[in-house]
Parts: sequence; C-alpha cells; structure tokens
Amino acid sequence: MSAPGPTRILLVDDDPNLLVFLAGQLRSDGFEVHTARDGQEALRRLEGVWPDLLLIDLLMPRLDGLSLARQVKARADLPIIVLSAIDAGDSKAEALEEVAEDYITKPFHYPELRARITRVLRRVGDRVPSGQLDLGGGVVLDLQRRRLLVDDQEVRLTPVESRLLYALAAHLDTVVSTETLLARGWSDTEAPDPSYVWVTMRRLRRKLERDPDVPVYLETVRGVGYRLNRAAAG
Amino acid sequence: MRRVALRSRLILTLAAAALVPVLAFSLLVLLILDQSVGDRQTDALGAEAQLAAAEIGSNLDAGTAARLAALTGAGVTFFDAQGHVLASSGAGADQVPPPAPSSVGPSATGGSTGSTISRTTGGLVVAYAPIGGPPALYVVALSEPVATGPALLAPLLAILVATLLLAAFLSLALGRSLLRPLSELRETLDRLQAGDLQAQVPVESDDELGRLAASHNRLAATLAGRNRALAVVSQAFAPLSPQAGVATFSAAAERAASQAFGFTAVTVRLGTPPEATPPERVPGEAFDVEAPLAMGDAVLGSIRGTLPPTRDWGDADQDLLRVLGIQLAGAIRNAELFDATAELAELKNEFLRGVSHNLQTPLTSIRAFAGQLAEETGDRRLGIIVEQSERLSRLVAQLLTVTKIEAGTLKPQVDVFPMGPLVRRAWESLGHPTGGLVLDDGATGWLAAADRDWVEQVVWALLDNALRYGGGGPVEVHLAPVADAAGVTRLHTTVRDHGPGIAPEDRERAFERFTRLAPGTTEGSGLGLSVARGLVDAMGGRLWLADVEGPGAAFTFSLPAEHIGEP
Repeated sequence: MSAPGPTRILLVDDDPNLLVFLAGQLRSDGFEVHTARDGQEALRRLEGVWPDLLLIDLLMPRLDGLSLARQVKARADLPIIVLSAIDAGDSKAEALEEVAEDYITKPFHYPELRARITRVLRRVGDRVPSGQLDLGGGVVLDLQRRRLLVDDQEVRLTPVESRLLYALAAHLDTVVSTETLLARGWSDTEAPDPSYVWVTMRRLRRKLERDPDVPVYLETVRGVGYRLNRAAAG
Repeated sequence: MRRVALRSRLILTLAAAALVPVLAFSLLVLLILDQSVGDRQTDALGAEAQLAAAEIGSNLDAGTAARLAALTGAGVTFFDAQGHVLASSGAGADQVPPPAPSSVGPSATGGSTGSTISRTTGGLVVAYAPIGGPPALYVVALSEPVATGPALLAPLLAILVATLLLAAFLSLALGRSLLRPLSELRETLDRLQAGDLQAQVPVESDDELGRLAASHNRLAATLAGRNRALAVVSQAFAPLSPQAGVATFSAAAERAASQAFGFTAVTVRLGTPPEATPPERVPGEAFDVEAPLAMGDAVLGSIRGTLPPTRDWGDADQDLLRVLGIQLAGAIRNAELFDATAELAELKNEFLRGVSHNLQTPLTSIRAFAGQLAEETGDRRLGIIVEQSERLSRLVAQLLTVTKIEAGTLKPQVDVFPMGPLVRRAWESLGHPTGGLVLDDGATGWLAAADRDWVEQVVWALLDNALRYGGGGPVEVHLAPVADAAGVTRLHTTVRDHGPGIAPEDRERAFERFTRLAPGTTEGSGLGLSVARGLVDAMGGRLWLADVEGPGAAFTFSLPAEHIGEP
C-alpha cells in the first residue's frame, strides 16, 4: 500500500470527454487522479507515479486495455478495473477476468463506478494467498480464475460468489459478518438485503459441500455471519 | 460329376482303373476254367460210357443200372435201339432223353470211341455208348450234372471283392495324402477371408501343392501388409481437428506414410504438383514414389516418399498412397476453411467491439455531462437527453447481443436479486411517471437467480414495448412464484398492456427479429422481443405471450428462483 494520503487512481481512456468528466467526479470524491490517453502513455506514467488503483478502458489505440493490464500485473499486483463497451458474454471479457479485479460496462452511472472502486480497494486489504487454496477433502479454491476444484472437477463461480469466497478466505477459520459480506458482494447494488447473502451462501454450498444440508466448509454462525473452514483432517 | 467331391472322384477313378482289368481277368479265367472242366468231364464220361458198354453184357435191368451207377457215380440209363428206356438208376436218370439216331446208327459204330456226348436243357451231360452192333442193339447213357462254374465262381467273386476293397483302401489313402494339403489350403483361405491375415499354410514339399501353399502365404502376407497400411492411412488424421492447422496435417501425413509404406524419407510439398512422369526406378537402388494431393480437379501439392531397393511397389500400393494424398488434401482444405472462418469470426467480433466502443464511449460522456448539468440546473430537457442517450445505448447493446445469441456465446453472470425493485428501476429509466406502472409484487420471499443486467434489459424491452403499443393505458406488472409439475419453483414476471393486443396467429412472429406487428410503425429496432427471448433462454427461463382476458397483450417470462430463508 502507498503512504497515507488520498487514494491515487490512474485513469486510462482514449475519450478525452470521459477522461475529463471522470477525473472531475473522482477528484470531487477525494481521489488523486492521474490520466493517460492510451496504454503506452499509461506505462510511462507508471514509471513516475505508483497508483493505488487503475481504471483502464478496454479498447484503446496503440496498447489496448487487456495488454496494458497484463503488463501491469506482470510488474505489480495493482488492482485494476476495466471500463468496456462489451459485456461479460464476450470472449475478451473472459480473458480480462484473469488480470482485472473488476470491470464495468459502458455506459455506466458514475455512482456505480464509485461503488466498485470502493469495493475493489477494500478487497485489496484482504490478503488471500495468491494461487490456489486447498481446503482439504478434495476442495480447492482458485479465486483468481473464479473457480473451484471439487475432486479435480472444475466448478465455475459467479463474480458475486467469488467475491464472497474471497472475503471469507481472507479470514479463514474466522467469522465474517453478514454485513461485511453484503458490502463485499453488493456494494454497487441499490438497497442490498441480507437475504442476498443467505441465498448466495446456499447456492455456494450446493457447489462445494458434499452434503449442502450438513455444511463442512461454509459454516453458518447464527446471528453473526459465516465462516470458511478447512475440512477436518482424516 | 461336377458336384462330386474331388476326393470321391479320385477314389472312383482309381477304383475303376483297378476294376476293369480285374473283371476282364476274372472273366477270362472263368472261361478257360469252364472250358477245360467241361472237356475233362465229357472225355471222362464218354470213356466211362464206352467201357461200360463193352463190359456190361446183355443183362440190361435196373439192378445192373444201379450197380453201374454206384460204380461210376453217374446216372445210368439203358435204351433199346428205338430209344425206349429199358432201365435206369433213377434219380433223374429216367429223364435222360433218348439217344440221337446217329449215335445208334452204323456211323456211330465206326470208331473204337463210339460214345456220343450231349447236353440236356436240364443241365446234364450225357454220354451215350452203343452196346453190340453195329447197328447198336442197345445204348447205355451215363449222365452227370454239368460240372462247371458254380463251384469256382464263389472263390473267384471273393477274390474280386477283395481286390476291389484293396483298391478302394489304397485310393483312399493315396487320395488323402493328395487332398490333405488342399483342404489345409482351403481352411487357411477361409480364415483369410474371415480376416485372419496371419493364417499360413505349412509348405511341406516342393511340388505343385507346395508352390501353391507358398503362393498363398505370399498373398496373405501382402494382404496383411496392405491392410495395415490401409488402417494407418485411414486413421492418419483421426485424432486431429480442423483447428490443428496445415503444418500439423502435413506432418501427420508424413508420419502415416512412413509407417504405412515403409518410406525411408517422405516429404509433403504444398503447391508443388507431382512430376508429369513418374520417378524412374533403377533396379538395386532406392526409388521414389509420388502421389498428388488431389481435391477434385485441383491439386494442392504432392506427397513423395523414398523406398528401399528391396521393396515391391504395386498398383495397389500406389492407389493407397493416392488415397492418402486425397485425404490430406481434404484435411488441408478443411483446415484452411476453418482458419478462414475463425479469422472472419474474430474479425466480426473485433468489428462489433469497435462499433460498440465507438458508440458507447461518446454516449457515456453525453449522459454523464447531461446528468451533471441536469442536477446543477434542474432543466428537464437535460433529463430527456439523459434518457434518450441511455435508450440509444440499450439499442446498441441489443444489436451486439443479437450476434452473441446467434453464436451461442452468451454466459449469464448469475446473481440473486428481488424482481420488484428491478422492475421499478427499469420503469424509471424509461422516463415515465410512476403512476403509469401498476406493480403487483406477489413474489415476496423469493429472489430471482439470474443475470441482473440481462433481466433489466428484458424488463426494459417489455415495458418499452407495452408503452409503445399499449394505447396509453397503465402498464401492469405481476410477479409470482410458480411451481412446476416437478416441484421446481420459478419466478414469473408478466407485463401487461391494454392496447389492441396481438392476434393469436402473430404470437410467435412477435419474437422474430426485425418484426413490427403494428402496421405503419417504424419506431423501435424490431429486436427487443427477439433479444429478450434469447437472453431469457440463456438464463434457463422462458418468455412467451400469455393468454389474457380482455384487450391487450401480456408477456410472461420465467426465471430460476431461490426462496429467502436464513440458512
């Protein structure tokens, strides 16, 4: 993490209008904003300023968002949010999931973007071992690639599911409150309700528990929240 | 004879060959024996009759006849000169015919051997001898059954049968030794036909049969080799998909050719047709063979291999190499087409991404600035700019979604959310007063499990549709959990307007692309319902036109649902 002070954001987009608008909005929300018009300029900026977060447009001249995100990730584990006009169904979006923390589809409401920035920055505080996390009993979390391995069988996770598991895995064997999980999973949603957490936990149990009615990994701590456990040895 | 087995024919031939001389010989022996026996009998009987005539005296009664019969062992009959029977020894002797006049006449007395022999129809040999005279006063007749064949025939027949049996046995044994290699060959050929190309006939001799067996073994070996080659050729590209690329296919063809034909070197040359004249073969030297990579009339190149000097190369081998060439040509063409298609698809995607980016980026700015200004100034016209730019964004997104529905690449990002707030938000984004929406939320306690953005697009499209064709009346939205026959509950969302409705015959057409059912309408893309259905399908739900009472249309879609309940 950088030294205390305003959170520094590097904003990369080839549309000057959007650049001006977003920079203005972010500054008025207390962020320190640096801008770049394309990927190569962004790389030059990175040599001088080390931001806390990158906002990258996917399609840019010279060096596109995906290549830029890869190059950045190769140098440091900086959180990246991608702005794109394509949605999750696109093949490029899938490639993106491995290098970007989150992405937001154009056009977007500014408040939605701000909520995602907050969420991603909060998640960066959670230190989850990179790579795979073996929970024992044949269940392995592979959150970077948004999937589970159950007896070596791949089980895909939805973005919300992987966010919740991320928060739980950061506090392995510790209770995480329902409120925290709700904030991690649905910070960009209007009026989030704890029922979202309950239902998503139920859906997650169907994916990773041997018997979803007798959970071993995803334990409910009544009145507080949830705890992610390793399977008891033997 | 055609149907008779070779074995039977051989036996019959040998038996006939043995039978003919044996039969002829036996017959000859029989005749000679018969002749000599007959002669001896008549001589003896004649002599005895003369002797009897000389010594018998004049006492020609039955007693004398009986004594004479006992003495000679023949029947004895006495006749007078007129041929009347004077006496006989009985037992058939009385049946002896009278002597011919010549045997009692003057001429019969001429020689010292004055007996006359005759044979009766009753199978008797009779010797007549005159007594006294000449001319004879009486005649004595000695009679015996003809002593010929019957007694000798039996041993002769026995010999004949024994000879035949021996001949049959010999021919059987001989035939077996001749036929055994043939039947072995037949069995091996049967196995060969059944697919056992390893079947070999033992070569035991250097005669015609041995050479036949050796030929067969060579044939089987050739067939087995060709079979292996065919298997290799036919499987050459089996594990490869068209994605593998031209180079991989060429390499696979080279591998297959080496394995199938035993090439010491092999090259696939693309764009180079085979040489017009086939490569020359110099005896004792390694030689090249070649086949075109033919695709109909087109020749994409050639495959050329080098064979060791000892290797045979027949027409069948050449045909097989040609087949490999045709296969490779087909595979290469497929790979090229696949590459071209993949390239086109990627180009199309790239183009659409570009279009989307270039349209959405300015729209994002327009909306952002207009929204900012609207907040600062409160000018309603700026609000309209925001709404309309959002509308434009949605239409662009719809266009992109159509291509993804076509390609089947839609993947929902499933989340859980309540439908009610989503419907309200979609309604608000249409910029209409909330009074026009009647929301009947019967789905309390249930969350939809689907892609939130997509569902919003679907609801937006249905509301937009209801506003446009609903005749200005309020739009009703009804939410309800509905359990199906299997007990699975889905969340049903029904959007109803009070416009003219949709005729039953137009119901399915409403979901077709670029269809506008309202006459004269040019508003809207004609994509809304088609895209909505594609999205709902991809989320595991269904979208249909529901039956309603009264005027107006009602669209219902179902989505997977989860019941709320703290776990």
